[in-house]
Amino acid sequence: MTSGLRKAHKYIWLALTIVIPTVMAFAIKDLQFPAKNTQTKTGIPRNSAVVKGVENDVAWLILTKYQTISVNLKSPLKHPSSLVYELNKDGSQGRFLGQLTNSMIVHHFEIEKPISGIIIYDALKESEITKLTF
Amino acid sequence: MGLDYQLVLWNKHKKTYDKIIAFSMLLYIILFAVITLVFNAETSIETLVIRAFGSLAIIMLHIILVIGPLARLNSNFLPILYNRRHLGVSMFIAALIHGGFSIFQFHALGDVNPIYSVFTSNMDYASLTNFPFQVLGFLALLILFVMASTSHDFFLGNLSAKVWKRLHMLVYVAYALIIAHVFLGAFQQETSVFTIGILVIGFVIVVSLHLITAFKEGKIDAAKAEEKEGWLKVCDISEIEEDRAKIFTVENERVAIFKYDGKLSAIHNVCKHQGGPLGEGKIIDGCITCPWHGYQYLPGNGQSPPPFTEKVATYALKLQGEMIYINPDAFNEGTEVEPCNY
Repeated sequence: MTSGLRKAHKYIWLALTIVIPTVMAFAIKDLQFPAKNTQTKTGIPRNSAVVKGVENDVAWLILTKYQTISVNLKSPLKHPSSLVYELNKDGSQGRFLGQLTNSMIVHHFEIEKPISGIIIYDALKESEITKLTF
Repeated sequence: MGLDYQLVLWNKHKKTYDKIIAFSMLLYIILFAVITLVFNAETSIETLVIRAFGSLAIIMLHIILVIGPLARLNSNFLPILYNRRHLGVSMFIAALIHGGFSIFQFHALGDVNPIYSVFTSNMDYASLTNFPFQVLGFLALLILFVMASTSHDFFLGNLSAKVWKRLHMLVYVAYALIIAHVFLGAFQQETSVFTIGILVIGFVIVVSLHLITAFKEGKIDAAKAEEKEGWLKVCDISEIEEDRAKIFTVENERVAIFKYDGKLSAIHNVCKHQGGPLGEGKIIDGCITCPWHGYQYLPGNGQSPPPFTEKVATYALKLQGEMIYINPDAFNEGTEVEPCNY
């Protein structure tokens, strides 16, 4: 390498050292990290009791008295992304809970406050897949 | 070196190297598929292909980016550098499969041109959390395409080494675009601390190696030699191994001083092919041989042996006792200089 190329490489990497972490930081800053969640093969968590449940043609939704909701898909979703959000009392989209990855397992999400249901949302197509209300 | 352009100048080492690349890529794809299907049997084949080849391309890009500085820091990595271009083209193929399947999966089934759809299906360009990240991946893929399609020596010869090198330095732009593509895309849909961590570690390793190398090389460039009547003091003759060179800095440029057959000759250290460090090579069959791709030069005049036409600058040397001195004024490329006998 000539001295000019060596300098060019040095300045490019110094610039990338600043630019890339800045983009990373901004991207992570507004990222929605999921609520605490677990997955089981079947059923609701042990030692918990069902408070109420609801279903539609897409999924079952169960609320337990231990501030947990359990979601079980009835069949695989034909959507590239299926994110679960709380449904606030006023019908608006609430906190991000997590992602549904598999219809063969039950997804359990911890909630912090009473909710009126959930919204399953396709973030790639930016469309609501379904809404389950208690 | 080859006189005629051929698709690929195969040799035993290149074949072995390419087999290792192909086998490693296949092994990764199989492992990725098995692990994915074990943990999520409902993953569709399109999603599996997109994720497997996307992650493979990113891993390969990181490996490609660290080969350069690793070879500068430790010559044991030179054999990998020798055939880095094949790794680059293989990485482009992996990225193309990822991009092609993604465009087909998400943009091909609408009523608009899929490429137009990539740019217009999400117009939220002002948002970081909802940025149309696929555009970034598409632009990176275009850069990788240009690089892969001009990787052959035909383009290196016809574009000139300077233009070719600048074109291929666009890999750094592609790297930045790919990092942003992943951070603004995959992580927005599926937040995973594990994948963020892996990418951050990869970035830190790549940047650290490049900066360590850059500052180390900068120190060498800045070194001042002792001057005596217009000649610069290099070193004692015993410090240079037979058929090897001492690399010396003359006005920010590196010069390689070779010791061979009882003679000393000095030429510019930069190979005309891809800028390889000639002084890290050795003399084979009477020719200085570049450690990167085997380009050769005659030590006495800096010219490639006929019928090749590459030429590098030469320098005058003199001996005082056992001490070597160099005249910092370079001769024109290919100028014959009487070797200094010892």
